[in-house]
Amino acid sequence: MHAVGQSVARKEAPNKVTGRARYNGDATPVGTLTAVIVPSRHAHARLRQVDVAPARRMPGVVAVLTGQDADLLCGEVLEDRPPLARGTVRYHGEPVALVIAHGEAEARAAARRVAIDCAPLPLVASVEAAVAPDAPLIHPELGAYKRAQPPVVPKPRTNIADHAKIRRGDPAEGWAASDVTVSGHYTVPQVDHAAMETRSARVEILHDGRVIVQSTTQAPFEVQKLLAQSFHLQQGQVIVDVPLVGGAFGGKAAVQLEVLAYLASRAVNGRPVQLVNSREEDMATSPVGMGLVADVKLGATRDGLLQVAELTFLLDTGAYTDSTPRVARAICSECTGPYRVENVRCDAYTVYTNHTYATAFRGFGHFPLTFAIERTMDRLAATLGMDPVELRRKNLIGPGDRTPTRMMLTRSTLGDPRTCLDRAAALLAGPPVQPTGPHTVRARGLALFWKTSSSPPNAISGALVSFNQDGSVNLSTGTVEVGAGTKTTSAQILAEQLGIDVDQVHIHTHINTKVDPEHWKTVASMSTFMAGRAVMEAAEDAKAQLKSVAAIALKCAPGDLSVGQGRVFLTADPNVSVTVSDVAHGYSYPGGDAVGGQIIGRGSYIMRHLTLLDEETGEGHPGPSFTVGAQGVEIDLDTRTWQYRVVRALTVVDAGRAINPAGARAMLQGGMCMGIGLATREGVLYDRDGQRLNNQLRTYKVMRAGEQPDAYVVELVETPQIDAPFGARALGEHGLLAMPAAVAAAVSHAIGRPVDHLPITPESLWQLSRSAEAAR
Amino acid sequence: MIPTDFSYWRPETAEEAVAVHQQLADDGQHPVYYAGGTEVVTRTRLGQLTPGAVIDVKAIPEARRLGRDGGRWHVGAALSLADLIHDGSWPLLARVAERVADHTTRSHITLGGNLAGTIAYREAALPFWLADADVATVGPHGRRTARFHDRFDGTLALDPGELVVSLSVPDGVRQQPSYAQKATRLDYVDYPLVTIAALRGAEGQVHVALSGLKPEPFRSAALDAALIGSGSSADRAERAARHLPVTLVQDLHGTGDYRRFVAQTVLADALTALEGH
Ligand SMILES: Cc1cc2nc3c(=O)[nH]c(=O)nc-3n(C[C@H](O)[C@H](O)[C@H](O)COP(=O)(O)OP(=O)(O)OC[C@H]3O[C@@H](n4cnc5c(N)ncnc54)[C@H](O)[C@@H]3O)c2cc1C
Repeated sequence: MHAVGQSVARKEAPNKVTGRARYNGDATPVGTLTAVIVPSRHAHARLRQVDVAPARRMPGVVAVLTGQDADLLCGEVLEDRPPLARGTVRYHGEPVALVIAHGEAEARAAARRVAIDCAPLPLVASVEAAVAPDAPLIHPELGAYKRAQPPVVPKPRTNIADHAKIRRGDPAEGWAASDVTVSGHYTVPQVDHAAMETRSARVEILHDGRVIVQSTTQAPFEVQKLLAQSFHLQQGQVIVDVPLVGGAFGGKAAVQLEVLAYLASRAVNGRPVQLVNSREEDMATSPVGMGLVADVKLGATRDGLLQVAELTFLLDTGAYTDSTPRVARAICSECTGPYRVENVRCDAYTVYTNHTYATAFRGFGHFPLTFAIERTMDRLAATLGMDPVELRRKNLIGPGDRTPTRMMLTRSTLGDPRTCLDRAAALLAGPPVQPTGPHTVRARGLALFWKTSSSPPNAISGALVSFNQDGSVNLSTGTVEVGAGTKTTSAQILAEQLGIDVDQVHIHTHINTKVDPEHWKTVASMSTFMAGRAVMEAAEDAKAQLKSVAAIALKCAPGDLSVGQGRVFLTADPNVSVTVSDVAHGYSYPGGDAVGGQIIGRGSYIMRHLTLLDEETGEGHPGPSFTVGAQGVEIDLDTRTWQYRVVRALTVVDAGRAINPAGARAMLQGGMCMGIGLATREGVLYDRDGQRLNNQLRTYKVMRAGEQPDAYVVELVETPQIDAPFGARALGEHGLLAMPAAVAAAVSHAIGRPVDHLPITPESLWQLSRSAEAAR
Repeated sequence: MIPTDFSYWRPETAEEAVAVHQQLADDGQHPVYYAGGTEVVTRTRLGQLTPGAVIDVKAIPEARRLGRDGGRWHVGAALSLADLIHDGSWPLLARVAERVADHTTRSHITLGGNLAGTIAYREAALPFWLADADVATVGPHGRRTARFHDRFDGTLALDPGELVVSLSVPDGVRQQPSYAQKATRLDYVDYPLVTIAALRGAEGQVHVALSGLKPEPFRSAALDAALIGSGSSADRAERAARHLPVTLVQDLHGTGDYRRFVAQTVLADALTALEGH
């Protein structure tokens, strides 16, 4: 009986598909007050006065808070963000006041009465404008901000919140050795996570000092730490409880509403207060995914061997940094794409603008990075007159090569990019573009991705295993179920290790920081690896304990015993055995006396050998391993109207080992769908005054069910990562990473011109064709 | 959520609805008719509308009529677009309606709401604008049936409190050759860059009405005239496109210039589809 490698349904699936699953905002406990955010209507302005008196007088209102009531700065890396604006507002939608009332209706009605008097400041509307000489400063106090989680290198008296670098080899040498050079300029807008469940938080401060937090977070332990730190509490006083989360995509790794809900509860004598984002608030007040402007220059020999890469990235972090400096380092770490380049110079700047602030987004910077690097590889192929697949094959990074951060790769840490590329090329067979009608063409595009975790070097995970009297097992880990199936994967690993059926493993769908072991954060596609390692250790621990009790019962040495199928048995003679339920809660002799006791298996994992990146050279060890893959699309395009559609999308990825093959495929397919959305339609829009234009799903377009390609193809290559559970590599984010690059490649083939800006709308293609005509 | 209270009324005749409307308006209640409610609810939630009372018009039988009578085909204003698609007896109307909003929303949006609402695309108006339609209303000054043409120029000219009860077209119009197409920024479900409805008359001449170019629907006799004559569809579409409004809508869905390009394309497509060349 094997549990690993089986396509099992997710444990929570029956409740989800029948509507019985409970999410954080679904029910409001009796006596809970509601808080509503009063957002800024300006993108950049000096606050002269916030008049809350009329709102306070409204029926049902209990308290109204402003920045005056919240004297703290928040920020995961750099503490630059007041939870409620103080003195200045820096983006349209920024929380200025918080109205707390008996019910949502009263709170919303009163929120409309808060009068915000402010004087507009000059707007910084783009990263280019932000880094121009004499640009208005968004954070004049930048130099004074506390660095909560170095490395971060702010440039005081500029809008540059951080500068991350790679300096490897000697670019001058690389240029000298190059016969051809190509360069490209690329833009990717800020994007929205658009999780189905909007963010929410509920906080109650009990009179015994405990702080109960219920939220939609991906990072319950981070919430716990931050609240304890910010409000001078003992960490154990703060209890964070997280039910199933309805999609996160990185957006729920940021801590925002929890702090506001805490402030609200504190202002009303600790009564429970909840804050539930409307869709508009979720899109314009809570953080989005960063935008990016990239300049990439590659040099290569005549036969296509890369010699040098120089890259500059301006990351649009909006008004505050949140995790963007970490994203910048993740981009630096993999800045060359999965190619062998000895001479690398990379500068990634985290740039403030008067846009909604940004936080992690599925892929942690890798989808914009992949777009920039893969578009440039296609340019190089075109310049050399070489097949883009051939150019990639020639330059693929491999075991024995070093990454931009000088990490030496092995087959285990890298996987097999060559097989991924070859299989994807075979699946995508056909000319780059071929006519299918008088004014329609079919075109193909391919792109590669790679990614490591870029997680903190001391990230930890833990697992606890306990037994029920009937021998079934309870498993507790610190990962949040955001829809990725992580709990089920952990259950499969435990079942495999104990030799039992997955149905015999019972999981906690909620996370509670008081009872569940800490898991760093449910991000970076690291749950299977980290929690999996902890689960394996917990299983071993439980098995050792089972054997030591069974050894007494069976009058043998623990080393003579094995565990499986609900029994502890003599390895040499399986007929001699006791059941797990006989020994898991103490073994009773026939006379009734007992030995042993309750068996609790514990396991933990801490990242090994990871290091922070050096500030000057970027040298370091950013993650335990890589996931590599190749993606391709076929599109049908009308050359008369420029309308097009992705008809087929494919991914070949080195999964290491698929613990739940159907789950892995679904995850990758969902990623592809998201990637096609990012390629073709998504992007946060602002008007000339920095006002957010598309803060609703009516105007911020995501892929609908009826707009899917005719076929999604997923192929898994399995090169085990030796130190991962059963060899499984990270897969959670990867389905989307190269999709925008692949779509851009296909569209570029279709129209005969490079497409370098996202999203690729028919109008953008029409504009391209017009400017080409005008240039002629 | 809607944070303010309002009263709810459900009259059973058009006259009663109008009387209630007048009474509530006199009381300073800022009443609105409530048909599918999609616009009333979404605008009220955002604070763009603060009605003190809503008057549900879906219980008025004549606003839900559907069928032939006296050589004309009548359709009640309180029928949903999904009802009209399901009926399908006027293919042009069904095709246009099918591309308004998404399935869930279409099951709520009514014909009357689409014609009289604030969101000004009013795509369902296009077929009526091309046919020899009548519109029946009840207002503070009583009942009135008028030619749709005379009351609609992209916006339906209603008196305060006037209620659209039904529309009608000559029965035969429904069998006339017609064409409809909606062009969006990219998505299947979206507001239009350009929606075209075209109807071919008995003598073969093609008439068109367009939504998405101006804030409200657009028609032009000069444009229709330019569609007649010799030349390929593309040539005539290009000539006709000169009669489009000088400035076109420019928003997050698309620029005015692009809309002009798209309009010309759909005009050519309409001619090709209806004339075969
Ligand atoms: C998600 C969404 C997508 C949309 N997409 C499109 C689109 O693609 N194309 C398009 O053309 N439109 C679109 N619309 C606009 C929609 O057609 C209008 O908002 C329409 O008003 C909704 O109809 P309703 O019956 O729900 O109106 P309601 O919300 O009930 O009423 C809207 C307004 O019309 C008035 N009204 C309603 N019925 C009558 C009547 N019989 N007589 C007089 N006044 C009346 C009401 O008083 C109110 O002011 C969309 C709307 C939504 C919510």
